[in-house]
Amino acid sequence: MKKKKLRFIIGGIILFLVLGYLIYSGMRGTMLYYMTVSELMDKGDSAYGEGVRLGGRVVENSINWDSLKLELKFDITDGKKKIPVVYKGVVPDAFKSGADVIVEGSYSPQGGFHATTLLAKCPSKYRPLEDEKT
Amino acid sequence: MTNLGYFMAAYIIVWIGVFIYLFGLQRSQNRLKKELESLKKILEEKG
Amino acid sequence: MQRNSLEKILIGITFLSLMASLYAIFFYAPLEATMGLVQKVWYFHLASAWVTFLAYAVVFVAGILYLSRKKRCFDILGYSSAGIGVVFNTLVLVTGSIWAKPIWGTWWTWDSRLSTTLILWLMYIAYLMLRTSSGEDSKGARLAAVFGIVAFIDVPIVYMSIRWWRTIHPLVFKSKGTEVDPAMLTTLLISLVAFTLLYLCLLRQRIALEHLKDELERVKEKIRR
Repeated sequence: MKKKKLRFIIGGIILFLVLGYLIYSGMRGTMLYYMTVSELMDKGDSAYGEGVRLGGRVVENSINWDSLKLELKFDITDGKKKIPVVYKGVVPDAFKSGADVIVEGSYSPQGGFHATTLLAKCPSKYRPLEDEKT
Repeated sequence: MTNLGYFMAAYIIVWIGVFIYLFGLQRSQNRLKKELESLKKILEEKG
Repeated sequence: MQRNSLEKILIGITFLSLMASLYAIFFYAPLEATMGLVQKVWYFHLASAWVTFLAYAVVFVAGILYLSRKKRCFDILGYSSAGIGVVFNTLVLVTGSIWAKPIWGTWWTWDSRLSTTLILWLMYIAYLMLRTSSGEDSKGARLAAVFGIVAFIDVPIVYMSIRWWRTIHPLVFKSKGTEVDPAMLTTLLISLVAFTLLYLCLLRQRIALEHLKDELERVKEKIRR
C-alpha cells in the first residue's frame, strides 16, 4: 500500500516536470513564431546564414514562376521594407498576391531569402463564392 | 480548389471518432450490466 | 420511468439537431470564396473546440466541488467530462491538421495556437492516466481534482494565444466583430448547439458507466462478506 502511494507521488512529480518543461520550451519558441521583414533586416550581417522564420505580405505583381528551374520567386513586405524570396516546392492553396505568408529558410546577401518551406495564412473573412463572381 | 478529399477525410474522422467512443461506452455498459446480473444471482443463491 | 423518458427526449433532440447541422453544412452553407469546400471543416473544427473547452470547464468546476464537498459524484463528473474533452480535443487537432495541409501547406507547425492546444491535450491525457491509475482511492481523486483545476489554466491561454502572439492561425471572431457570411454563421450556430447536446448525451452515458462500476464494486463487496 505504501509502496503504491510512493510510486504514485513520484509519477505525479515526473508528470508535472515534463509538462512544465513542455510548456516552457513550447512557449519560448512560439511567442516569436516569425520575424517581420524589418526585424530581419535590422539585424544586419547577423541575419545571414541562420535558419529563420519570416512572415510578411506577398507584394502585388511580384510573383514569378520559373517553369524551367521550377522556382517560385516573389517579394514579401511588412509595409516598410521588402525582401525577394526564392522557393522550390509545393505551393499552398491560399498563396496568392497580397496574401500573408510565412517562409522558413535562410537569408543571404546575394540572392535574398532562400525558402525551404512556404506557408500561407488563410483569410479570417469567410465570404461566399457567389460574391467573388459579381 | 478541389480539396474534396481533405474535407471528406476530416468529416469521416469526426464521425468515426464520435461513434467509436459511443459504441465503446455502450459495450462496456452492457458488459458491466451482464456481470452485475450474474453476481446478483450468486448473491441470491448465497443468501 | 421519468428519468428514462427525459433521456429519450435528450437523445431525440440531439439526433435531430445533428441531422439539421449536417443538412446546413452540406446544402445551406455556401462554398467559401478562397478556400472552397475544405472551409466547411470549420463547422465541426470550431464546434469540437467549443466542446473541448466546455468539457474542461466542467472538470474545473467538478474539481472545486469535489475538494469542498468530498462527494463521489463530483469525482465521477470530472473524470467523465475529461474523457469526453480529450476525445474532442483530439478531433480539433486532427481536423485542424487536415484543414491546414491544403490551405497553409503543412500538417503541423509550432505556432502558439497549435502548441498550446497540443499541451492542453497532453495535460488532460495525463489527468486521465492519473485518475485511472488511482482507482477508488479518495486520495487519488483529490489529486486528480487539483490537477484538473490547475490544467484549466491552459484553456484561456489557448483562447488568447491568437490574440497575444504572432501566429499562422486566423482570428475569425475579433473584438470588433466578425466578417463571416451570415448563412455560414447560422450553420456554425446550429453545429454548436448540436455538438453541445452531443456532449450532454455522451456525458450521461459516461457517468452511467461509472455508476455501474460502483454498483458492481458494492455487489462484489457483499459477496466477499
